[in-house]
Amino acid sequence: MIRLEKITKSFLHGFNRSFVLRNISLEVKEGEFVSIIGPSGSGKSTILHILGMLDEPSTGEYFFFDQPVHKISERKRTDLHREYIGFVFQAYHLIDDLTVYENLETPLLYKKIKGSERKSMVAEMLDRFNMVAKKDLFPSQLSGGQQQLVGVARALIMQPKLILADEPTGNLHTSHGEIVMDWFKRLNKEDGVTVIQVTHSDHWASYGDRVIELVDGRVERDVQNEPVPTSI
Amino acid sequence: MFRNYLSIAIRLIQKQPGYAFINIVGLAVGMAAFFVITLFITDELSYDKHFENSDRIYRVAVHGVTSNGDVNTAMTSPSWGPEWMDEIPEIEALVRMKPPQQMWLVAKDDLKFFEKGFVFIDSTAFDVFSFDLIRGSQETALSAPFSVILTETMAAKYFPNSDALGQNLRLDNAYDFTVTGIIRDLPGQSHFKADFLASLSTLRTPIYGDNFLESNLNMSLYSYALLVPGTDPSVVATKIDAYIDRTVGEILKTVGATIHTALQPIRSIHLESHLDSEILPNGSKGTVMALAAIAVFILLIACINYMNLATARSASRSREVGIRKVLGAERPQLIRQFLGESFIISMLAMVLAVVLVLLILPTFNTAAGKALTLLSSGFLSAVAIFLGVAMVCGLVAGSYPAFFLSSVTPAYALKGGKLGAAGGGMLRKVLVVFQFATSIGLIVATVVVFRQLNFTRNMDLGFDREQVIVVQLTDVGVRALFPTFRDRIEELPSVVSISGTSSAPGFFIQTNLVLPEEASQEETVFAQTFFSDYDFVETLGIRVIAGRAPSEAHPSDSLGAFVLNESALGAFGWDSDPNLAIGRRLSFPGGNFEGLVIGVVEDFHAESLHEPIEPALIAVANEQSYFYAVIRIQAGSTKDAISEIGRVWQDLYPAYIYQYSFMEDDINELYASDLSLGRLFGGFSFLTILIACLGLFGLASFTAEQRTKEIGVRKVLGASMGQITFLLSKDFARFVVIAFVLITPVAWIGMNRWLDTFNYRVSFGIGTLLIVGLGVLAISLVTVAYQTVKASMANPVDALKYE
Ligand SMILES: Nc1ncnc2c1ncn2[C@@H]1O[C@H](COP(=O)(O)OP(=O)(O)OP(=O)(O)O)[C@@H](O)[C@H]1O
Ligand SMILES: [Mg+2]
Repeated sequence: MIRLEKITKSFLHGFNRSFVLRNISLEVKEGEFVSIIGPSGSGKSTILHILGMLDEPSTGEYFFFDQPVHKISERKRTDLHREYIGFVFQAYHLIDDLTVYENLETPLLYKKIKGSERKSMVAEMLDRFNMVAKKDLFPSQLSGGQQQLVGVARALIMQPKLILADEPTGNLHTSHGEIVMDWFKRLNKEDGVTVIQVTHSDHWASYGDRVIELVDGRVERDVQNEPVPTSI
Repeated sequence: MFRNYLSIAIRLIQKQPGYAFINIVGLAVGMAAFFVITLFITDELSYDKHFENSDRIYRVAVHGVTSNGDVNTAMTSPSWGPEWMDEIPEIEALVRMKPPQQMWLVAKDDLKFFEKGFVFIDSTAFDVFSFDLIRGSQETALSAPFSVILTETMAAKYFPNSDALGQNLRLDNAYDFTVTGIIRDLPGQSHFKADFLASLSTLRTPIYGDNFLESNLNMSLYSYALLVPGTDPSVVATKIDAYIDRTVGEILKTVGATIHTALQPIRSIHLESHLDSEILPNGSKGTVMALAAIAVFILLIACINYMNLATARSASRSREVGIRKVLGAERPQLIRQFLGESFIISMLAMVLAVVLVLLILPTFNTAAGKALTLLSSGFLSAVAIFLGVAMVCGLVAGSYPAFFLSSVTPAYALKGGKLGAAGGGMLRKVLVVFQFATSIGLIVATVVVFRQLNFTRNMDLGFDREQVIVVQLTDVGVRALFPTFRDRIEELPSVVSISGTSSAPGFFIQTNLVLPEEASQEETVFAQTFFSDYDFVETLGIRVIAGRAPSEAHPSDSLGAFVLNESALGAFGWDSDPNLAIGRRLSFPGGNFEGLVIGVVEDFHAESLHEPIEPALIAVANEQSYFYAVIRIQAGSTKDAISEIGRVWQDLYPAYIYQYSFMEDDINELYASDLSLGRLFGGFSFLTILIACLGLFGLASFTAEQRTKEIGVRKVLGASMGQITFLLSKDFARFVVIAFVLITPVAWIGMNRWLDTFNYRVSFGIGTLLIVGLGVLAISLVTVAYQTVKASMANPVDALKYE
């Protein structure tokens, strides 16, 4: 599904170029549940943004379902990303001025889905996440956990093939975190959705089948289904 | 999708009402100003367009060159028109028109009014002008002498309860006219005013002298020609010149003058003609252009506020943009969203603007001397202009934030990346500087105009304009009794002195060709002439520098006595010593008027200070020449004087209306268009600075918000409140200073050019500019003071926690 070839990302600081990602090559197959871990500043968010086509690599190649993402037009990229990718953030990133209902509806609007169909899709999501009663509230009127559930619901509403989550549980109490993680697990197992999550904690990393550790912009370790030593 | 955008926009307005208020009010003020100016300009440009064939109607103007100056008049000689019609095939129709010099007294029994719109006109009127005759016959209504056509309004005014047709009106208490037709009222946008169309053939009678219509070298009425389609007007002018040369060329040669004619397109007269003896005051193309520029600038300034505030706020919006991109938004969709928001704001502003226009219009009408209404350019065009302006504003104001914000990369935006610290910030500064430059420029213009007007009011004109009442002697009958009137007025305790005269300062000044005895015909001089009685010099307080003023004590003065001004000395070549002039003989060529120079007076300004002082001549003449009585009254007894003079008038002239004015007002009236320019500049500079300050206030609040953390840190490090306030104010002061430096040369050159239209003007240098600049600086600092002081007083701990 995903193939990265020698991806680097660098920023200019004055006259110095500082590298955030250095020569990253990796492959993720459809149906995998990958956890990316690593120290702060190691480039986890950066690589996730590149995978989600929210940011561009400085050099290297990125193939998504064999499409060369690094070569295609912005329009085409938006299409790909609309079609296949759902995003969940640590900071939820809901639109403050829209209600829960409207937040869920927004991606459907961009995909130009018709009114009646849109209604039923939103209704189904609200139902699935037990938020029917909250549909007219604004994000600021919800707890952090509830907001993140809306964030997850919004990512799922388009029925993506790939979910990218940047520390989805980072701001949540453990109990709320469990709910979110269980959702990912279920989607992964039942619907075959590919999940790539970034996390700081071994506990949350253990939900994945595969753990990739980044250190200083390099893949330090890439292991299947085994607990990670607590050396971080 | 639209509902989604709409709800965002409305919630934003609810959430930040201050921000929305600034944007909406700023835009609305700009739109209202723009609309009012558009109304004004549309009105000015529509003059005489309502006549069918107005593109083929021309007025014949005469440019005369004499050895001593030029004459440019809109009038032609009465005998010419019909002969051009006969011999120039390109002229399809021709009409002559004679509006009143001052006003005519029109009466229906006891209903009496002075009428400015009583014009005599050829029976060919309908061939040239598309007057809309609703009663009577085009063929015959104006054929017979003493026929008159009324407008509907006049018909209702004089014949409120009966049919006007066939009834009589009496002119000047002497001449009875029969109403032969009724036309629809003419639009006010015309270079002439016609409420009564009287048959020109009437003038074969003694009203203007028996031979008036036959005179062939007496520019005293207006000729309009309708040309055959496709005719080049200059060809016709050449043929007219040939006619004039053939018929009166010889006479002109003897006085050393030549005459050329030009055909003025009737639509251009109001703004471009500016000849002597215009029927009504012309408009000014310069004012129209200056206002057009102001309209565009004000609207731009208002749009700039929106752009500025939107970019300043972009940091908080960029996260939303990031999220929307993550959710699959494409750039065009985001652009549409932000443009949509600015359209909503500009539509709300439009609604407010309509209200503002209703509020502004009365004041504007006073300043501009108009009677505009919201719908005076038509309902559809008003709607079109408003919607058009709202659309353009929405587009201009929204375009920058839309394109700027939608270009953000989502990953960066989501991290809360600060936007446009460099690019957007720079543009913002440029825009603010532009706003303040415009404000300073307009305020400088206002100040200069009013300083000049003040100067004209206080300048020594060479006579004393205060405490002088001017009474108009419009009729032959009034003039005949003037000696009695004078005697009775002189006895009044509130009156110092009285003089009858043909011209008075502030009114139309007659000019004549004057010839010294020993000179040849070519050395005639054009001189302003005041035919008056003995007391003119004394009554106005004109200062004698050689010889003496006319006096009853010298019986010979009644046989012809002249007093010259200094400029006349120069024109005759006697300026080395005023006494050289005394005892010289002067005459009017072709006329029988002559006399001796008995005195010389200092130059005095009878016309506006736009004009240079011309040679002038005060000539003793009898009461038939007096059109005005100038009466100097005792200081402090104005009220008594007016009523006492009025009583004498009633007693002596019961059939005539007592019409008086103050000479000071008459003179100020000469600057009416300057005054209205000043008021317009004043009003619009107020609006501009208001909008600019609104924007600055909004900007200051965002800056303060953005710099909360910096301010917190500085305070923790020991900065005082004063230091913080200074730090924040300094940035805003810089805008004003840069704006000042940029606008100074423009304002200086522009306003000196305007001042140069006066022959006597104030000096205008860096002083005025500096004062205005400092004033604007102070205003802008006061505007931001609230925000900066608030920011500097904030608890640093709060500020740091907030981050
Ligand atoms: N726009 C940028 N300009 C300059 N440097 C950047 C930019 N974005 C990220 N970086 C740098 O890239 C490095 C990696 O950032 P990234 O956000 O990927 O780290 P992370 O692994 O997600 O860290 P954390 O666990 O703290 O979220 C950081 O050192 C950061 O300073
Ligand atoms: Mg991160």
